[in-house]
Amino acid sequence: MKDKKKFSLPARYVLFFLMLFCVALLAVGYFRPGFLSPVTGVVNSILAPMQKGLNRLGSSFADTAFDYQSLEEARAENQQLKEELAALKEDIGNYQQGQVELQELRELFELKGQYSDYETTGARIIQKDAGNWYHSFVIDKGEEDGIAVDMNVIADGGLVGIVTEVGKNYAKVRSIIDDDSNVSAMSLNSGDACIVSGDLQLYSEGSLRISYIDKNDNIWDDDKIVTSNISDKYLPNILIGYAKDIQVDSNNVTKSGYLIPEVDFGHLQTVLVIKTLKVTGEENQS
Amino acid sequence: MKRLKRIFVTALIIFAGFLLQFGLFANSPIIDTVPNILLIITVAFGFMNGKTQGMAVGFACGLLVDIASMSLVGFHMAIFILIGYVNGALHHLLYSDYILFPLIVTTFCSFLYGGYIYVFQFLIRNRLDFVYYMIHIILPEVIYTVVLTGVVYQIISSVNYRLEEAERRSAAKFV
Repeated sequence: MKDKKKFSLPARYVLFFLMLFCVALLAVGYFRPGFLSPVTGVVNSILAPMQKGLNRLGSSFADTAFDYQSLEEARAENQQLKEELAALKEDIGNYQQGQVELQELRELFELKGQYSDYETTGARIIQKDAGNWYHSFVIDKGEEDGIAVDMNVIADGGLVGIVTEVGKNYAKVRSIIDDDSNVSAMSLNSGDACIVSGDLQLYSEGSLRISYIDKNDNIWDDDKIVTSNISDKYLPNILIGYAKDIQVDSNNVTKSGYLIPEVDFGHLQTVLVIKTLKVTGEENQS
Repeated sequence: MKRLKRIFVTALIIFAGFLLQFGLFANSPIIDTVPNILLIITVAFGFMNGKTQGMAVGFACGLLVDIASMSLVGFHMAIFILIGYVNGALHHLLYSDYILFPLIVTTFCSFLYGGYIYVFQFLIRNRLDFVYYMIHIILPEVIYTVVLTGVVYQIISSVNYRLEEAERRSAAKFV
């Protein structure tokens, strides 16, 4: 008690300084992204294995709550089948897109193949964002497994999100349903461009928003929407979902509508990370 | 020595709360809405032990949330420190023994927290439908959090009581 009196500062001043400190930290984080990441990276690397364990614990609790041995086995099998199915679906998608591309190539000679079979690695989701405001998650693979920032993440043959932060043994993924996410996309049929953005409000209805479609572009309901060629970070021709309720906006210049995602985000447990990064022209020039 | 013990025990509680919130609840297939356990802990410590401890605990909790989620460091920290301070100010005004007061205070702080995130993460990006966010995100979180307050607050309160008892005993020994 005695030593406390020596440097007793009124609490409101402490509060004031702490708030200043927070603002300073925010400024540092905003203007120098990555400045604090050594610190946060170390802490997260320590936390990742614990979360992995707790995640297992949580799942096992849930399993014992149902308490059916057979169910558990069926689940394991289901998981395995789902993974297989995801891989197969992706294959089918690739073939379909290959077909379309073949036609294009026949028409336009000498155009190089835009994509080949991407190298992927499976990963398990170990933590979802604890708040109820964001839709991002952490997977159990990181730098050690060759994961890098901006790698695309897919599941069930559809686009899930993009890696935004990588640690030694974990990586953070922002899903396309996050309120902050915008993906440059196009219609597979017509190749017309649009933007697919996440919306917290829409997501509870199971859809995303499509916008910035030119009024005269050929994007209609039930069109397959895939990632676009011109995106900086997303590899081309990954299936996102299907267009719905496309209507001309009140400005009479653009159209917008909704998108039903291919991926069931509510029950995501394993994902595939595509280890190929998009190569943009800018990097080639420099 | 006794101070060290208090710091150690407090850190342990915060860490346990963090792991529960981020590891167990966030990943639970049964529960959709994640209760804000770290908020309860901040409220409890501020309410029982005053402004300084409230702010210290808020600082630690906010830092953990900032690091574990993808936000800029400092964003959650600010609101947690503020909540710790406000509850510390209530320390002298309300009885911390009745469970009713902490429940009311937690409800208030939960709304404050939700409002803070809405304003600084959504409103500034022109997401104007506050009623929707209120009903679908803030309100469920508040309810889950308040329900859990009943349990978490009792635990922290009994731990705090034991710590105080031990501190009093060792103080008596010296005098």
